[in-house]
Amino acid sequence: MTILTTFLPILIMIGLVGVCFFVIKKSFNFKRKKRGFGTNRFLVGYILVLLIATILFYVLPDDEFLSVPKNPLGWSELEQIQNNIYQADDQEAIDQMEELDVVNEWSIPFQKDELIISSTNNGEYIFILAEVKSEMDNTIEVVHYATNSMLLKRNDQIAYDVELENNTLNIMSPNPVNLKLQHFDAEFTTTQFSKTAQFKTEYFSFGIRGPELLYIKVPNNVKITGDVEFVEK
Amino acid sequence: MNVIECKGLTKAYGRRQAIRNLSFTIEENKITGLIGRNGAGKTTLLKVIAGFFRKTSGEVHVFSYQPFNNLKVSANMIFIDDNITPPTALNLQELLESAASFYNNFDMELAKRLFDYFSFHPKQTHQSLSKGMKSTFNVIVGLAARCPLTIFDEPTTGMDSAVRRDFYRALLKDYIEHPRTIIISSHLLDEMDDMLEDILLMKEGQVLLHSSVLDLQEYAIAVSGNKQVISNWTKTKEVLYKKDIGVGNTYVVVRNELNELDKQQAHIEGLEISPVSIDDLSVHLTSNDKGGIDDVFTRD
Amino acid sequence: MSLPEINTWRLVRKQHAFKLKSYAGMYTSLMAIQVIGMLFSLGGVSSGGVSGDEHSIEFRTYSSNVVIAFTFLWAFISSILITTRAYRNDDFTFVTNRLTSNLSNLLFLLSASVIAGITSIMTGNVNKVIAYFFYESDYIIATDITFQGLLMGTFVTILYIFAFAACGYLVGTIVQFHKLFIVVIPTLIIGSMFIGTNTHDTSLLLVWIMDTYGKETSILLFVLKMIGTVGLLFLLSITLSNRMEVKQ
Repeated sequence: MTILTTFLPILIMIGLVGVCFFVIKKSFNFKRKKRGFGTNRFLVGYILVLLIATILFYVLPDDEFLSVPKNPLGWSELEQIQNNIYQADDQEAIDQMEELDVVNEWSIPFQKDELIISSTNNGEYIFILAEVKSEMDNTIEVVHYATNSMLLKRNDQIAYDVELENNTLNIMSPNPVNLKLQHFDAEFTTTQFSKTAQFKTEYFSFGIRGPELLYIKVPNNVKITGDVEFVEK
Repeated sequence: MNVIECKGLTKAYGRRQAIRNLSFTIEENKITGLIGRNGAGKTTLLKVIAGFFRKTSGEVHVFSYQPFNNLKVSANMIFIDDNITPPTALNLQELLESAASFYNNFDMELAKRLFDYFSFHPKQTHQSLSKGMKSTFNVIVGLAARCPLTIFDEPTTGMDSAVRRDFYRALLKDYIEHPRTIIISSHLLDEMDDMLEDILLMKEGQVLLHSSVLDLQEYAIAVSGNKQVISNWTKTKEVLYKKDIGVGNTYVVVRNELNELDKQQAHIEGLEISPVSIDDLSVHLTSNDKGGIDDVFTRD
Repeated sequence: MSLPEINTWRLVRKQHAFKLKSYAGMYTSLMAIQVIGMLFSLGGVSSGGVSGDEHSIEFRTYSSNVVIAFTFLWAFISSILITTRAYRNDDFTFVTNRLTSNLSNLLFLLSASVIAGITSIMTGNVNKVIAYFFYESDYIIATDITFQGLLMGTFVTILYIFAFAACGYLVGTIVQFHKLFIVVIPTLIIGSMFIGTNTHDTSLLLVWIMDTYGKETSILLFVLKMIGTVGLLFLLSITLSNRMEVKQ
């Protein structure tokens, strides 16, 4: 088995080289037909196709394109962000984390004195943190933070929603999505010397948007229960 | 002025020597016929002269340069044989233009006229031509190039006799207008003798004879008659060729060193003396020593 | 007898012009090999997926990388082909010697590499345009390249292709020198794949090539290395073939 796995790529490579050799040799000796018709038209056609494709490619509306972030976050950076979120003392600490962006904010009037937080967490890397405010303003504030510098910022399909039902705050996970992504890459000969941002699957090791956080602030007269961590004051 | 000088020239492939210890010179502006049987070493000699092959030993100078890998020799020499396989991507017209770009003296007008005369089409490709047509195209290039040294190695392969005669005439006419050194190799003289000035006979890698056509015409004489009489008569003479004809009769070719006495004696003894065409002579001289093909079928 | 001096450089240029026309088969084979490369790239040169949570991402990458690799192979094989007797003898139809023949081959391979480099970079656009118009996708991520970056990439591609051509040319010349090398060279190349480091199962030769050329990040050093390598390869070829006979 190990011998086979060692040899297989080499055999495939030799096969490929053989096929290429055959093709090159055949077309190399492509005999020119009488009276001019021959490979010339194919060549001209080929060059035209290349030119048209190149022009088309550069006139494509590139505002539809996402760029690979200049300084993408790798696995270890993402892990660090995750840890920083866990260790955050208050919202100020969260706000100071440059890697986090506010995706969405809610402000919900709330008169009752007991709040149940319920999440239909499907296993995303979302972290729910609650803080009891010092004042009594009858408002629940919810902020959704996600890691910035990730590729997909504009994905409305995968937004969390927050809904108050009686005294239960339902945190609704987005429906599972299956994203299809096309990556128009630069050639390896280009990226060898141009410092272009490289696209790596590593960026998605913490899910599509990296470490996320829902920060919930409730008035100080409200008692919270549910699947939530507290910021101790 | 000698265009080609060879001294003790030898070319070996491994152990086999294709040409052995050749020494001769070819003067400027002469047409020389290189005659020899297949395998006599003609092509090898010509390719050494052309600079395609490296000599094994001895000396060879072309325009007083060593020809191997020499740009000057290459620029002033054209080698035409029937193995020329021009690039398949070019048609005949483009081939002529390419040749013209390489050879400074190339006469495109002459090439065009010959091209039309032999009914070529400019858009044809070389590999689509028949063997005879290929040879014809090659010699057109060879003629029009007007190189100071023009080498034709078996140029008429596949040509029919009309084209062959046309070629010889064209060659002679162009040579008279633009004298240059020309070597034509062939296994037989056949139709060429009235065009050539010199003849270089080769056999088994060696020069057998190098003389002018005029001298060669006087070189030998044929005698025929009774076998017994002939064998007595030729005892003191150099026999170049001998063949039995009919019953008890023999035909011999001897070196032409006869004096009047010899002739008279031959006449008295009833022998018939006749001249030998250089065509036949070259065949006799270059044939191998195993008698003729007849001997193969003669079982005693 | 004195003959007019021959201007070597002028002759090389003439031969180069001649070869650009007469080696037209090179362009056909380039096209054939690039079309094959593009067909291989239709579904992306690489693809993959991530599904860490409920969501999943599928992605396909489009670039000219596969075509470029195929073009390397083309350069290598074609260069071997032009050293074969049929093509070498083509030269000797007209005025030449081994040096001018080699130099004009070098120039021709350089020209062919330029054409191959530019076209191979362009083929990526064909695959990208096809992907854009015909394949469904939620997002398109484009690696941003500046125009200078693109030019430099093309230049680097040409250098790589030319280096492969130089390798092929040397291999072809060695094979012409002695037919035994037809067996020896592939054996050496394949054999070298098995001489690997103990820790990784990759061949030392490939690792060295990757480290020396592929991982070089200074363009200046890279260009110097390439010029040195290509120069050395051609020098060897020219030295070897200078003693070779033609028209056998």
